[in-house]
Order: sequence, then C-alpha cells, then structure tokens
Amino acid sequence: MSQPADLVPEGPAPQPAAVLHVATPADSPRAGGTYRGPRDHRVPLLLLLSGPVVLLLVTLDAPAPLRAAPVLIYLALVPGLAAVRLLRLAEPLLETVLGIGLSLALGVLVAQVMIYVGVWSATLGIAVLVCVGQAASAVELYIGPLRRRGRRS
Amino acid sequence: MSGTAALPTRAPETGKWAAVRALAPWCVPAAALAVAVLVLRAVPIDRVGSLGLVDVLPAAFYVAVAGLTVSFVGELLLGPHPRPAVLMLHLLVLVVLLHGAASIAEPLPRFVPAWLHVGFADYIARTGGTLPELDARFSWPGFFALAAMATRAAGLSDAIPLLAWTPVALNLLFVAVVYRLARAFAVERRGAWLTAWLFVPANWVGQDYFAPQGVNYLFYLVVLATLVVWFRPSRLDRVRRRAQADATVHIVRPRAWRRLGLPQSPLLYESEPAVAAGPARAGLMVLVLVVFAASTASHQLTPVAILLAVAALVACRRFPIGALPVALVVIMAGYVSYLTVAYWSGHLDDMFGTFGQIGRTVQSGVGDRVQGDRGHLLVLQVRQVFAVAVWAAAAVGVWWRLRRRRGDLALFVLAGAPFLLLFVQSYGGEVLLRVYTFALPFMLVLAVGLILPPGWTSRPVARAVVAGLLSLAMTGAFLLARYGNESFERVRPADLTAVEWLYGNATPGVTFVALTSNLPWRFRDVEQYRYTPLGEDLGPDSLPAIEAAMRANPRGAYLILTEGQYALAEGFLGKPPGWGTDIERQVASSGRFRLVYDRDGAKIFVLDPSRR
Repeated sequence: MSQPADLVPEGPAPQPAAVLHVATPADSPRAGGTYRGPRDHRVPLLLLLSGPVVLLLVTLDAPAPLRAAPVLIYLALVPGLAAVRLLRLAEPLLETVLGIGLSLALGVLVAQVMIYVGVWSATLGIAVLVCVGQAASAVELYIGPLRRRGRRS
Repeated sequence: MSGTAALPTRAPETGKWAAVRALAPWCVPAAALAVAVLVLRAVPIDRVGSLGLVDVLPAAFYVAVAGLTVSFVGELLLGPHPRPAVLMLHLLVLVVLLHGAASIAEPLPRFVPAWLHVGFADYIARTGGTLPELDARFSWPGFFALAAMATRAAGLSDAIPLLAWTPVALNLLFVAVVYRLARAFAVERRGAWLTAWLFVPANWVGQDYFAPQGVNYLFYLVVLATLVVWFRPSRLDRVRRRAQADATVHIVRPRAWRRLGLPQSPLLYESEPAVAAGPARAGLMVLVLVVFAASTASHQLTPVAILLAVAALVACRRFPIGALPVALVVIMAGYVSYLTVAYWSGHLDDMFGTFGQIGRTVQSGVGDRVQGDRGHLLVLQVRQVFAVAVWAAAAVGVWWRLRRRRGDLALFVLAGAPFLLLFVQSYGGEVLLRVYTFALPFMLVLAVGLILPPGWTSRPVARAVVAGLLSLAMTGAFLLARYGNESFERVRPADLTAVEWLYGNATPGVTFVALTSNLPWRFRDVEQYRYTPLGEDLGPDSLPAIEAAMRANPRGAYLILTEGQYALAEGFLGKPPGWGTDIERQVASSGRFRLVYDRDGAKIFVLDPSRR
C-alpha cells in the first residue's frame, strides 16, 4: 500500500498557520525540568513550622477533632514534599503529587521498620517523619540564601 | 514538542451575554454538585436491586452529570482560552460524583474488604506486630502499618472514618499524574485534560478503596511518571546512538508493515523528555527507589508491575539506566526472601503455580467469574465490553500514531507491559482487572489521540460532540460497572449493628459462623475470635454443615444471619432467590438453635444447650 497523502513530511513537525498559543512552563525547552531561579521561602518556612505543631498535638494527646485533620494532612504531604522541593522541579503540580507519594512511602517504611525492630509507637513514627520534614525544609531554607549569594558573586 | 492549544484565534466576546458566558462554567459544576448530592442523599438505598445503584438513581443525577460533561467539553474545546481552574473544578466535581456517589448515598462505607483492612490496622496499632499465619496480607503489612500509625497519631480509635472518602482522594491524585503523563507523551494541553477527564469513568475497577492496592497504584503512577518525564533519552541521544551502532543499517519494512500503511520512520516525532540537572536526577532516582521499596513492603502485585514496566523501558532503550531493574529485583527478592517466609513457605503453588499458564490465568479471570443472577451477568458483560473497547481504541491509536510518524515507543511499551503479568500469576483470578488498571492511563492517551490528535485545528464542534458523547457513554457504563454489585457490596446498618452486638457479648475464643463472608466483621479484635467462612465466599450452606461448624469449637459459637450474606449468595454465588431466608427458616424451626438477637432482619443464634 502506498503511503497516505496526509502523511507528515520529513522534517520538523508542521505547525498550523494561525494558532492560539498560551505560554506554559511545559512549552519551554526546559519543560518540566529543574528550576534555577529564586524560590519563595515561605513554603519551606510553613513546612518547617508545621512539624513542631503536629508533634505537639500528638504528644499532648489533643482531642481527635482538633488533631485528626492536621496530623493526617501532615503525614500525607509534608515529609515527602519538603524532600522533593530540594530537587527544585519546575512543576508545582507534579512536585506536590510526587511529594504525596514520597510521604506515603516514607510512612509505610517507617511504620514497617518499627514493627520489625519491635519498637512500635505511633508517636515515635510521626516524630521520625517530622524529623525528615524538618531536615529537608531547613536545608531548603539554608541553601536558598547560599544560592542567591553565589549568583551575586 | 507540540505544546500548543492549536485552535484558530478568536476575537474576545463582548455584549450583554459575555459575563454570563464567562461565569457559567464556574456555576455549572457547583450546581451539578448540589443537585447530585441532594438527590443521592434521598436515594432509597434499600431498593437497590441486581443492577446496583443504577436501579435507584433518579434522572436528576444523570442530568447533573450530563450538564457537567457538556460544560467541561464546551470550556475545553469550544472556548478560545480553556481556563485550567475551571477545568480543574469540573474534574474535581466529576471525581466526587462518580467515585463518591456511594459514600454520599449510603449510610455506611461500602465494601466488606475495606472493613477487614481496618481490623488489620487495628491489630497492628494494639500490638505492634503482624499475624502472617492468619492472613497472607500480613506478610506485606506496609499499608496497614501506615494506617495504624496515622490513625493512632490522629487520635482516632480506628480507621473507619477514612473509608468513605478514600476513593475520592486517591482518584484526585491519580488524575493529576495521568494529566502529566499525557502531557509527557506530546499530547497538547486539551488532549491531556480530556485524557484526565475520561480516566475518571474509565477507572471503574474499584481498586481505589481503603486497601494496599489503592495507595500502590499511586506509587506505580509516581514511579512511571518520574521515569517518563525526566529520564527518557532525547532525540539527539537516540540519533547519536543509532549512528554509533551501525551506519550501514537499513530500515526494512516487512510486507505486513507496508500493508498497514505504516511509514519507514514511524517514531520520527517521538516526544522529548524534560530537562533536569544532575543532582535533581539523582534525587529523583532515590525517590523511585524509596517508593518502590514501600510498594514492595505493602503489596504483592504492584512491584512486579513496576518492575516489568521499567524492564520493558530499558529493553526498548527508552530508559537509560540498565541497573535500575536489577536494583528493583534485588529489593523485591530481599523482601520476599526474608520478610514473607511465613507466607511463601506454605503457598509456593499460589505464588508460582500459574507461572506461564496464560490460558488458566485468563480462564480464572474471565470464565470462572461469570456467575450470579441476570443483573450481575449484565454487569460483567458491561465490564468486559468496557475493557475491550478501551483496548481496541488504544490499538487504533497506536496505528494512527505510527502512520503519522508520531509513534512513541515508551508509550506503547507502558501500555503493553502490564499484559506480561498474565504470564506471572493469576492473582486469585483478579489479574485481568489489574492489567486493565495498570495499562489504563497509557491506553487512554492513545485513544484520546484519535479525537484530539497533536496539532489539530479543524472541526472543533465535531470533536466536542464526539468527546461529549464518549464521556457520557463511559460515565453510564461506569455506573453499571462500578456500582452494579451494590446489592451485596454495600454495608447494611442492620448487619453492622448485629456484628457490634456480637463483639459486645461474645467471649474471646468463640467462633462466629455465617453463610457467606459478606459481613462487616473482623474490623476489630481480629485475632480474638474464630471466623467461618475465612478466606472463602461461601460458608456452611446446609443445616448439618452449620451445626458441625458451630460444634467444632468447644468454647462456643454464634450463627449470624444477615441480608447482606443472602445478597452475595443470590447475586454473585449463583444461589437461587430466597436461598438465604429458606436456610434461616430451617434454622429457626429445627429446634437445635436458640435465637439470641433479632433486629431489622439480622438474627443471631446459638446452639440450644438442651439439644447437645
């Protein structure tokens, strides 16, 4: 069979003559790549501050209606998001989803290690995850000014 | 890379209707949600029949979903500037309406296995240990351990409050990853939105409840999205490699290839990866390994699916790090060798008995499941047609892409790799469902390419009509495929009250006997009582068998009879109508049992001590 008439010819992909082009990060050559510009320090600060608050709620045994939502959201989001933000990915949506996936994965591993080591404690587990989140957020807060200083020099 | 919304530009709309047109896309989802929630909460759920929720859904629900669909398609394909926030709102409402319909309509979280998983998490939370001898799932306890830690840290007594909305939360995460995967395969933004939209009704399999496989599906998508977005070799790498390999290689087109009208360079416009710096790539690789380790520790099948997909990407040179599959094998083999001994030492045949026996696997996944009443058989047929239709559309999508030299080998491989699971094991007859789920995002990307091909400019109205009709058809099929078994998958309040009475009155060590396993039991004190049936759908189904099962435990036994059990037997296990009430009548009139509980159709008996 001969090739169909509407086959795209050799060479770069054809573009329509008049197109509506809405610029998105994904349209750039660095689509979805790593982000090298300055980043908002408020997010790592928020992540950093949320850790002690959650740990306090757990250790003080606050009533369930008060702590259930903050603790569950923290476990499902913060440790992984704080770590993924260190990679400086240029996509907030994917960064958040990867952060949630990593948070759940870290939760699974921490909880299971506690079972096998024989030191089961929900408070200890969440303390370990808070440490991960704190460390990653602190590194991001520390590295940000260093990078800015490096660019100036 | 084609990243543009390729529609002819239009002049901004003016006039008195401009404001209405601008606001309507925001109002429609809110109105659809309000209407659907109102009608779902008023649904007479006790009248659910053999077609499930469809039996009782009022027309207003369908109108709400149809209005939402029309609004989404209009915003996506007929407007000059599709607004991401508006599209996101539509998607959010669709996920709530489809995956949260049962949670809104029913008084208790559905699906008995989810309640059992609450019991597993409860055991870990109380004891800090696992019971691999009791249930195979305790050999992969990661999810239950996480649930135990999370619920106790959150101050909850158990995980029951998490059951109802887990499907909605997980599907929102799935949809986000599916959107980005579609973008990675050079689908322009509108096509990616449509892929994400169609994923919501296409994901009817129901593996997103409170269970290890739901979270593991997120792990699967996260790993593959990471590899696809950042780690595929660029076009320049491929050209260089081809040149290094052999400059004299001629691309030979077999006759069949030519007959299909396929060109010599079908992968000419393969999509490009995103650029990431070296440290970021190293960090992403660590993320992949951590997520895979968590998957290995929490589910049997998902890590195998991830491994097959990664190995296939390496084999077709669409992932450059050949050591990764080896590392994944080491992680998996290490875990299975040391931490699941209690399981595999007695179940080697379950693990490897069906290896390579694809006929037996397909038979257990399709043929053996075709049983039950007429409504259930119709539901099964809808499921099979749904799956085959998605696969067929994807196959045409492959041909279309190859013909236009927009073939993407990574996409084809990821759509096909899950089928290799059929050679590995039958997974209790469920492996076909899992294959469908694992391949679904990639199949949909291929299918949507037929409606919105890269660089499309013409006939937006016709494309919108096709997309809208397809979405409505898939939504209708979803309601049957997902909620068609609702007569026995919903949890009746009377059944739960009876089970709670048992836990409140039975002394530890006694046996609970039921006709079928469709009962919300084992959600607490899972190790303190004995259960019959255990691991099977059907329990003792005759008077002598019931009596024997109860006498088997010298510490005593309770027989619990509930409508949920009868519904499973008659709707799914092929028992005749009235089978359950007949047995109940025989038990009551035999004189060998004493009624100790009778409320709202649920009855509990003990053996009459005077007749021992």
